[in-house]
Amino acid sequence: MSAFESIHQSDRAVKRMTRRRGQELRFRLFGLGAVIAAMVVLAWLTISLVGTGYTAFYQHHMTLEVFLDEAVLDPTGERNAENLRKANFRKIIQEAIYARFPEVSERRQKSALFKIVSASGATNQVRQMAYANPALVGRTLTLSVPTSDDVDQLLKGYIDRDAPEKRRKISNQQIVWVDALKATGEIKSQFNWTFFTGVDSRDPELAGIAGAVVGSLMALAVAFVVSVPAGVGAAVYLEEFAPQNRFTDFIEININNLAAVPSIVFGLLGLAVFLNFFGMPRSAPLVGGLVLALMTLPTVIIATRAALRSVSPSIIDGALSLGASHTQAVFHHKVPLAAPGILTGSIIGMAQALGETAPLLMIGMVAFVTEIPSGLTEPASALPVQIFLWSDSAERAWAERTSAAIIVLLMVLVTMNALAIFLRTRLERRW
Amino acid sequence: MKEHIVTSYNDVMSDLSGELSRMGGLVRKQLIGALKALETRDADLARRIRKNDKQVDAINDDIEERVMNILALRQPVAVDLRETIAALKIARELERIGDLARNTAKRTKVILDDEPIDGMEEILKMGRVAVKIVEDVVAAYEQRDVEKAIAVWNADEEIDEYCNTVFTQLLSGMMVDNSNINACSQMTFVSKNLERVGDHATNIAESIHYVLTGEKIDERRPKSDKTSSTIVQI
Amino acid sequence: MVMAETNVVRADGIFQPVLPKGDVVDMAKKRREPDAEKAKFACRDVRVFYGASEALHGIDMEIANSGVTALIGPSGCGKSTFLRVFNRMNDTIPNARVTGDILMDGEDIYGKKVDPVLLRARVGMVFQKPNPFPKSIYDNVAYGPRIHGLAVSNSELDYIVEKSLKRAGLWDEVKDRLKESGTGLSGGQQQRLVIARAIAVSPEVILMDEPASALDPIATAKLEELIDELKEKYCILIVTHSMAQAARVSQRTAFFHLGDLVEYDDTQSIFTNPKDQRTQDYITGRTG
Repeated sequence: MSAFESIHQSDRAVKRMTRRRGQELRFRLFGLGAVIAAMVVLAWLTISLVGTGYTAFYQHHMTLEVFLDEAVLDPTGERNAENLRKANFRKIIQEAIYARFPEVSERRQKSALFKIVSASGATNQVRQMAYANPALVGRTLTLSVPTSDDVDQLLKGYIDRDAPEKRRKISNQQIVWVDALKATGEIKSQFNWTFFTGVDSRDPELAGIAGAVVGSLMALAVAFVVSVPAGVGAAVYLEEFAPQNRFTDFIEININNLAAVPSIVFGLLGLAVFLNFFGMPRSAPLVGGLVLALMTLPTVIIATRAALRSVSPSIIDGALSLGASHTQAVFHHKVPLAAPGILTGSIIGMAQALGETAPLLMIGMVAFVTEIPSGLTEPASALPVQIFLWSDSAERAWAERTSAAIIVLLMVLVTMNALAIFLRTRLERRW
Repeated sequence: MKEHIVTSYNDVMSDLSGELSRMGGLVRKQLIGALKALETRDADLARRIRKNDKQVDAINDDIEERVMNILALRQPVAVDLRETIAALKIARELERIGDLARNTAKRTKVILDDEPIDGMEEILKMGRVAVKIVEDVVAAYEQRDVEKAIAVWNADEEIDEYCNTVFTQLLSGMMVDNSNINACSQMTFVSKNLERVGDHATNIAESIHYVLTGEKIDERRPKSDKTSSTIVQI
Repeated sequence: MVMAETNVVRADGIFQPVLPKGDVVDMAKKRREPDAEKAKFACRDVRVFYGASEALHGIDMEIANSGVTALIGPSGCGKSTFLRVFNRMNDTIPNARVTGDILMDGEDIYGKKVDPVLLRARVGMVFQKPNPFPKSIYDNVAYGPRIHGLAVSNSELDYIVEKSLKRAGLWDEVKDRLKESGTGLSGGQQQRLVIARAIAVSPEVILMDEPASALDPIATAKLEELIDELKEKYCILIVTHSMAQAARVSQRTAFFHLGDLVEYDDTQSIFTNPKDQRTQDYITGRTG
């Protein structure tokens, strides 16, 4: 013990220290707990999404011997497009299936048998082949056609075989046929390209997200082209050149308020201004993009101003002291140094816009569109809207597609955020 | 004078001037002792004075070291710089005065071998003036008194005049009676020593003036020492 | 160390211009040597206001054409504010207002016809924190000549960059890495880079606002050596908190206190025998 006792070595000091450590430990544990809770919820979301959604990425197809009967398709033998368009391809498919199960003769049984394949899917497939090559008529083709969504769901295990026959969408007889086909390898699962290349459809087994993705990308491109230059320009002007007075204060407050306005209000604005006043087409990516641009504008402005403000004033002083004008100092030094922040803010704003549904509903991008949009004024859907639509549909097969579309949307968002982080770390320069 | 913000700087500076005062007191005592040994013909006292000079030298060394430390560690400016440098110079002058006291004591031995000589009274008077000047200059330093320093600076003239008188008297004495020639010639050195004491005191007064006002005394120093050109008419 | 540095700087004298063409080279030849007798700046009753509060209370001062003038004083005494009067950097602060006359070579720099942008090309400035642009060393130095259009060709720009870096005593240290970022240099090198950047515009005056406060003693010594070299050609004003530095580099020292110019004299006089009690108290570290 030293000659004098330090007040930091007494028993009471030890107690004080223990209490202090305890408080700090509790705070750290609390923080850790919060993070763990967030991680658990996120993991839960991911698992549930992937759990329901992954099955949408493969689909069961049936191998079918199809005889393109000339008597059915083109009795006149002219092979012209007119005849082929009117031709009854549905009957061809029916015949092909009946031929596979010759023992079935009763009408209702035949009808049930036909329901194993996707009627419109298979018919369209054959029709397109015949169109492309009329010489195929009269020949026998081996095709892989999608099964109906009920068969697909049965084989994916979503339909309870033990349930009473009346309470499931597939009969006992159909189950016997499907199992037989499965056993011979005539029905097998394969990667579901249709989901990525197809457009919206009434039949889940034929529905895809390509139309919605293209619509979203178009809208996003419009939003980017409009909101980033306008937002950055506005921010640079407000931050660097605008006089400081009540009017600019008022504008600043309103920009901040605008960032907090519910997105559906922007949709209403778009409806009133772009559709009703300017008479732009409904459901068009152009209008969707403009609405999203309006919505993103405050985010871009706020992010840009924050990035401009974070540039060290000493750099600007340096430029000014060399005889650079204020404009030169801003555009030679301040904006380039703020660029990573501006880019990050813009990308995050774009990501927000990508996930937005409500404003698009208001301007009609909620329509049932069965074609990939070819221009900015064509009717189009958007990915989040597509998800919204599918989630509302009754059939079991839509559930997995909804989840799968959400997975795709999240992947795009994660990619955009990763790009933002990458650009920030890559472009950021120290001073 | 306001205090330094850093208290230890203050302490260092006041220690330095305290040490210088102590040195001044010691040198004054040495000078008084040397004169007393001469007056009372006390060979023993003279020896003690010679020995004591080592103390003066020791204080001088101490002051030199303190000044060096202050310059190196505090980088004094303005009044502090003047004070520090002046301390070094004053210590040097005091050390020389101490040497002169010792030299006087050394000569006392030879002087005591002869009979008492004429003119001793004058020398002792001159000595008292020299002591007074040293006392005054030390007091001027201690009290930071510019007037007193200027007074000392002017008083040197008095000593120079004494010196002239004593010198003439000693020369005449030696001519009249050459039995005391040893003592007398030593006495001329003693009187010269005392005159030099006055000069050193004057230098100290100049340093004090510079410390206190930041300016040199720019008039020419009063010089009335004419011993270098004095001849006695036979 | 310091000796070697000296030689580097002196090497400038024997440097032969590669490109004896163009504005800058011509001007460099014609450039009149500063007349040490004449005052570069004459200030009369200079007051600076921040909003309603007066930061400088009527300064009258003349600043010599060459040599180093140091501005010292406690924090908030107005010395930095005063320094920024000379290149009108106070203009960039909202609410700041300057009154009184500041004549540069007889011309009022706050006159209506004076463009602060051109004034700043004539009056360079170096800041407390080294602030090189996050660009290459070359681009840092070339920035000023580029915006003022001083170089007619790339080779002339190269010449200006090289000359400026040499004059700033940095050439030998950076000549092999001109394309590297200026922010990668050490603090002392950055500060000399910033000086090179200022010199490249061919100013007449260089203002320095506590240029060594972020530097270590060796870097400080190199900077002071550089200031010593530059004082022959430029009128230099330096604000410093280090009295020892003011004493080492300047020929004239001005002491500011609470917005007043208290004392302005030869540096030697200020540091051995200041006339004003406030100066004495400040430089000797006394309470006041």
